[in-house]
Amino acid sequence: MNEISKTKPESELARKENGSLEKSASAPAIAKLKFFVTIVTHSYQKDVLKILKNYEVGISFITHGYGTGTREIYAILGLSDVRKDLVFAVIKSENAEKIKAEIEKMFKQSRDAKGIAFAIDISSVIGLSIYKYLTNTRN
Amino acid sequence: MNSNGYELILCIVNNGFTDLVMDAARREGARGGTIFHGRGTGNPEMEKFFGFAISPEKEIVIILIEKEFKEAVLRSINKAAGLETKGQGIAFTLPVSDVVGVEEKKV
Repeated sequence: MNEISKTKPESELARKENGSLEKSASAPAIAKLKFFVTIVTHSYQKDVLKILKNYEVGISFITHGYGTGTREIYAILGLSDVRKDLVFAVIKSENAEKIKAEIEKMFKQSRDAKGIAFAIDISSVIGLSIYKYLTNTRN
Repeated sequence: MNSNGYELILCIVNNGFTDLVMDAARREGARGGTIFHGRGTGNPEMEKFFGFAISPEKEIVIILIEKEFKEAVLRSINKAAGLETKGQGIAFTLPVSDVVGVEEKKV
């Protein structure tokens, strides 16, 4: 309970900060962030990271999972490997369309690198340093 | 925001109950999902009782689904592997945007 009551005003502060920044001309514009998830055939995480690297992605996190698509579909596609790489990254909202297009191109061009990708809006971040860390703009 | 009419279902269940979740989801129109592993951090009492750290193994199922199926799939998952079952599952949905790699379902 304590934790919740502690963090709540801070998150409200962050929101206020966001709102006031829009009004003040001197402060730099704060770009909205998205949590970008890519689920791709195992061992193709490098290709995803290569794309993300071009868009100032500060952090990414890779984990492994496995697909649960129906066996018939896997058989038709000639796939026996159900292992997947999950790539989680924080991206700037403005880059979402471009990243999406590049990932789509990768899925289309490659015979084996198949998967899905989507973005989830990040509603708040606490602390400017963390924001800078997430957007890879620490310097 | 380009929402594409999709939502992400996230379901955290005890290890070994993902088949129940997927079967329940498929019954209501889901096609596939992705599973990965995790560890629960709740219930600190357990640790004290046994004297050493025990972290309950969990599996997370993520399913990207069209909005119109969301409600039915969630209900179905909750019935099959919800908190009142051995699966002890928690399921919730998140709105997603910029969806890539999902083909529209042919009617």
